[in-house]
This record gives sequence, structure tokens and C-alpha cells, in this order.
Amino acid sequence: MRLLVVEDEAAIRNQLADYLGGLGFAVDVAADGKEGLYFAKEYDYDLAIIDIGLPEIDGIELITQARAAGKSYPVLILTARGNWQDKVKGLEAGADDYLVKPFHNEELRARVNALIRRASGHSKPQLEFGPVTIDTAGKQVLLNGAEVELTSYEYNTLEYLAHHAGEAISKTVLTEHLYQQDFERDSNVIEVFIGRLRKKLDPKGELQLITTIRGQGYRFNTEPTSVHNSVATSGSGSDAIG
Amino acid sequence: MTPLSERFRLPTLSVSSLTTRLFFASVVLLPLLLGFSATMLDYAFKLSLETAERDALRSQVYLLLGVAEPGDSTLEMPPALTEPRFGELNSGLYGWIVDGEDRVVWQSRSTDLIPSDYFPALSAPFEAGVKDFFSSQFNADDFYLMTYDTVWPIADDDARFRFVVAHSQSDLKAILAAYRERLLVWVVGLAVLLVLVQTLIARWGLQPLRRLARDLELVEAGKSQSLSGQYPADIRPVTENLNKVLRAEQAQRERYRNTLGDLAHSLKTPLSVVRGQLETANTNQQDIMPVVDDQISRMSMIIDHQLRRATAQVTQNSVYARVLVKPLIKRLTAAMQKVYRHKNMQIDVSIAKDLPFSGDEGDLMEMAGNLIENACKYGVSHVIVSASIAGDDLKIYIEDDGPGVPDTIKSTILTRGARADTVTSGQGIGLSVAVDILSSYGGSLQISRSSLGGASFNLSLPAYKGA
Repeated sequence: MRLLVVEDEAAIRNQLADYLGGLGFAVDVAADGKEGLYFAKEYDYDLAIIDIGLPEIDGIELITQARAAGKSYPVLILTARGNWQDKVKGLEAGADDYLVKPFHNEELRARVNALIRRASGHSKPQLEFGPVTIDTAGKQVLLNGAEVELTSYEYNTLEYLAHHAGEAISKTVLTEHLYQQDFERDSNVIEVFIGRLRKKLDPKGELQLITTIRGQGYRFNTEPTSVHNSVATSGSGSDAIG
Repeated sequence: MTPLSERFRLPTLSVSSLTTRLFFASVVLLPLLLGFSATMLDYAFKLSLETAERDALRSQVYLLLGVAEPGDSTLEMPPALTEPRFGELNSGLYGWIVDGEDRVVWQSRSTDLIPSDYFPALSAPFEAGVKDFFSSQFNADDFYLMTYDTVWPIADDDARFRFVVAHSQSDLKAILAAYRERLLVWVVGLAVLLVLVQTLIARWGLQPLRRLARDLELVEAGKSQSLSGQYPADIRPVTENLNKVLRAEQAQRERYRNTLGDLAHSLKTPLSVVRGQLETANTNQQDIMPVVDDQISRMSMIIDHQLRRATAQVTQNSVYARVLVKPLIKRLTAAMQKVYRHKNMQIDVSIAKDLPFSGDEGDLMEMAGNLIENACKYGVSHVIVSASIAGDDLKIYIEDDGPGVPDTIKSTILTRGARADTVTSGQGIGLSVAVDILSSYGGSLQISRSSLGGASFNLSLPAYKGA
């Protein structure tokens, strides 16, 4: 999952980057509205965290312009004043939720996870695909009720694919969403992650959880599951636009 | 030593208005002036009456002198006089002549019923050629008397004779009484008229001041930004300066508000940093973490609370605009629907589209926003926001279908500044925000059970009163 953090206060910006990076997110940071807007328009993020009071271009203007440029990823706004004028303006501009400073990291984490999950159309933090359960809140994967040991990159690859279940996801897109923008893209690391995931979740090849589509990428199959998540069929990300 | 003010204490009159002051002044002053004039008029009239009387008596004395003839032993007077009143009994006009030994040598026929010893004793020493005019009492009546001392050659000797004419004052008194009666009527009438005119003049003259008071009331009630009326030149400097003060005060208030907002912002950012640092730090002093974290929460709340209180005080006397309730609530519910999208909240708004609120838009947004957010947080699937005018109050109801508010914490919520839920930090102070702002408007909050099954938060605010 790749996040954008736009915050002018260096200390908070670094903390957010460290904390979210520690959770396994790829985090791009911007220190002002201008830089933030460039990133926001240039890349497809899974979520953007934008402070309302920014130099150059303020947070609300940034969100408005990003939405106008067709970006539909969820946006979480940060506000220090915490007044409703700011909150409502932010939400009207296209943000999806807000957080008042000073916030707890736990709360930030909960909001971020909920927004990403909702953007993909899942209402519950547990995504169930037959014997496989992905707990997006606890960043855990269960196979027939037993925990599967995954590295954070493996988990992130799986969660991204699961959030976009049924769609063909290219290696480039996966790389973009797993790593910061300065990552070396010509690597076969994605193939390695997919191989390991297949081995850990479907050692016998019965489930066919992740299929390779030649020339297009990988697809997470909803096929093996007998218990489809009802909300999952409502379409991914369709409600992310404000 | 007693202070000067103690010794010379002025009677303190609690006169509330200038009109009353002027009225009292004229009520006290006018009778004094009119009374003085009346006394002067009365005195002048009496004086003129007396002068006329003196002239009349002198003529009578001359008349007697003219007809008196020196006889052998005394003066001789004709039996009838040209003045008929001398011959008429008790006519009020009497004449007599006394000689040097104070014996009455002649008396007019009109005195026939008055014993001669009833005549007043004339104590003035005899002095030939001197006329004397004075007032005296005899025969149970007041009289003006004129005496004229003369010397006549009788039996080759100089005999002294004093001519006396007395005239009753009763006629004069009647004229004076009639005059005084008329004078009183006129003076009282004039006094009433003058007081009336004075009052009308005062009212007319003070009209601009009353208008100024009305305009100031409008400003105070927040219905006007400045004194806009046309004032007379005398008080225009006052109104112009007042307007300047009002403008400066408004600007000051705005600056104050912004400064407070900036202060809150700049204090909360470092708090955010500290909290973030604390949570990411790998400290082995784990036991101090909750304490520091708790203190950060408290500091953050204190900033919020004080900022709110300060702005509430600032707002208290500020100029209120007319804010339409429905569009504002609609914005809030749309925002909340977005945030609580995962709950598929049905939020119904039932408010007349022209319902006004008298106050600051931001304040209404804070109050309603916190309560609507609360309803969405605790509600299951349905929230209703309704508002209407009931008497002098604007009522706003925010209902949800959640678990409702237990009686035990109701009073805690309603207490200003208290926190209902300490579980959800950061946004858990919403209710106290609403209560804080509400009390600054003189409004109230009640919590009851909603027909939806959950809680109903009932806001009561002063309704918009304006043209």
C-alpha cells in the first residue's frame, strides 16, 4: 500500500513516515501544498494524509485539485484547530475522514486501514476467501484458522491483490504501491513475493489463489471462496470520490 | 474631621432621564419665578391702589378745607357737603375736625352712628401745613386716614385745627381680592402651560438622544453594526466616535479570534510531535508513557476549552448575523454521511428552509456538528435532525437509534466542560464543546429518549428576533 503524507511540520511528517513505514506502507512525503499537489496528481496512491494548514497551497485546495484531476483514492485530513468549518470544508472538497491533532498513532492506524478497506469496497476488516482470512486490522493471514507467517512485503502484496480481487494487477502497479517513488523498478522481487505467497497459502496448488495472466500481471481469484463478502461486489473504490 | 461631602451633602435625586430632569427643574423653577412675579404684580397693584386712595382722600380734605369758614369761636362747616357720602350714614367715608385740645369740633353726618370716642387717637404732633396719610383701625374696620393740620385766625388768635378724612378699606380690599383671584388663575394657568410646553420642548429636543439609545440597543443586541441614523450636529461627534470605537472593537475582536486560533494551532502541533515521538520511541521507561500521554490529552483539552471560552466571551456581545439553519445542517449531515458511510446511515433533516439562527455561523456549526457526529457515532442506522421555533426559542433536536444515554452520565454530559466518553480520545470532547458554546448563547441542552429508540439531544437557543 502506498501512502502520501503532506505535512509542513517536519517533526510530524517524519513521525508519520516512520510510523506508517513501520506498518509496512510505502510512504511518500511532501512538505508543502505545491509539492503535495504534484505527488497527488502524479501517482495513484492507496491513501493520502493531508494537513489542512499548508504553505503555498492549503490542504483544501490541494484535495480539490487532486479530485479535479480525477484522483479517487481516499483522503484523510489532519486538522489542528479541530473546528467544524475546517472539517466540513475538507470533506466537501473531497476528503473522506478527518483526524484532530494531537492524535494517537493507534487511531491514525485504525482510520487509515478503514479508509483503504472501504475504498476497495470491504466493510469489515476481515477479508475472507474460502479457507484464507486476511485480517487487515491485525495484518494477519489465517489459513483454515491457523496463522500463516508472512513478511511485511509478502503481506502487503497479498492485501493489495485482495483489495483488488478479480482485477489483473501489473507488476509495475504492484511495485508502485509497495515501494516509495525512488525504488528501482526493474526487479523481479514481485515474482519472488508471489512465489512465496503461493507456497505458503496454497502449497498443493488446489486453491489457485493467485493466477498469472500473461502480459497483464497477477489476479487474486475470488473463485476458491464459497463465502463471498457481500459488500465486495459493490465495486472497488467507487465511493471514494467526494 | 468629616469630609466636605459629608457636611454638605446634596440631596441625591435619582432622576433617570433627561426629560424628567428638565421636567423637575421647570416644576421647581417655574412656580418660584411665577410666584415672585405674582407677588411683584400684587405689590405694584396695591401700591397703585393706595396712591389713588391718597389722592382721593387729599381731594376730600381739600373739599372740607374749601367749605370751612372761621367763625367766632371755632370753625364753621356748612350743613351739607358736595360729597354725598359725607352725608350718608355709615357710607364708609367720614370726616371730622379736631381742635388744638383734641376736641372734635365738627364731624360729618356719616359718622352720626359712631361715638366720637371711637375715633382713632391721633398721636402725631401738630404741625401746620403737614398732611399725613396712614392706615388705622376703628369701629371694627380698616381705614385709610388723611390728616391735614391747619391754623386759622379765630377771635384774633391762631387756632389749630386738624382735618381728618377716613375712608373704609373694604372697597379696596374687595378690588384687591378680585384682582388677586384673577392673578392666581392666570399665574397657575401660565405655570401649567409653561411646564407643558417645556416638557414638549425637552422631548422634542432630546429625541435624537432617544434615537441614539435605540440604535445603541440594536448594536448591543447584535442587529446593527454601527449607528447609522442622521443625528443633529451637537451629538454627531459622539455618534461618529462611537462608530469608530465600534469598528475598532469589531476589528480587535476579529484579530483576537484569529490570534487565538493561531495560538491553538501552534500549541497543538508541538503536542502532536510529542505524542508521536512518545509512541514511536523505544523507551524502557514504559511506566511514564501513560502519564505523559494523559498529560498531552489534558493540555490539548485545556487549549480547546480555553480557546472556546475566550471566543465565546468575544462572541457574546458581537454583532450577530442571520444564519439559515437548514443549509448549514445539510452541509454537516452530508459530511457525516461521508465519514460514517460504512454504517449506511440514514440521516433525515426536517427543517423549514427559511428558519433563521441568530449568531455566529461557526458556533452553530460547532454545536450541531459535534452533536450530529455523536449521533452518527452511537446511532445504528438512523439519525433525525429537526428544528423549529417554539415561542422565543429555536429548538434543534438531534435524535439517533443508538443505545441512548444512561441517566447516570446525563448530568455529567450536561455539566459544562465535562467529558462524557473518555474512551474515544481526540474527538471525545465534542459534547462539552456544544455545551460550552450553548451556554455562551444563554441556551440549554436536554437529553431525552428519542422515538427512534436512542438518545435525543434537544438544543434550545434564543430565536432570531429582527426586522
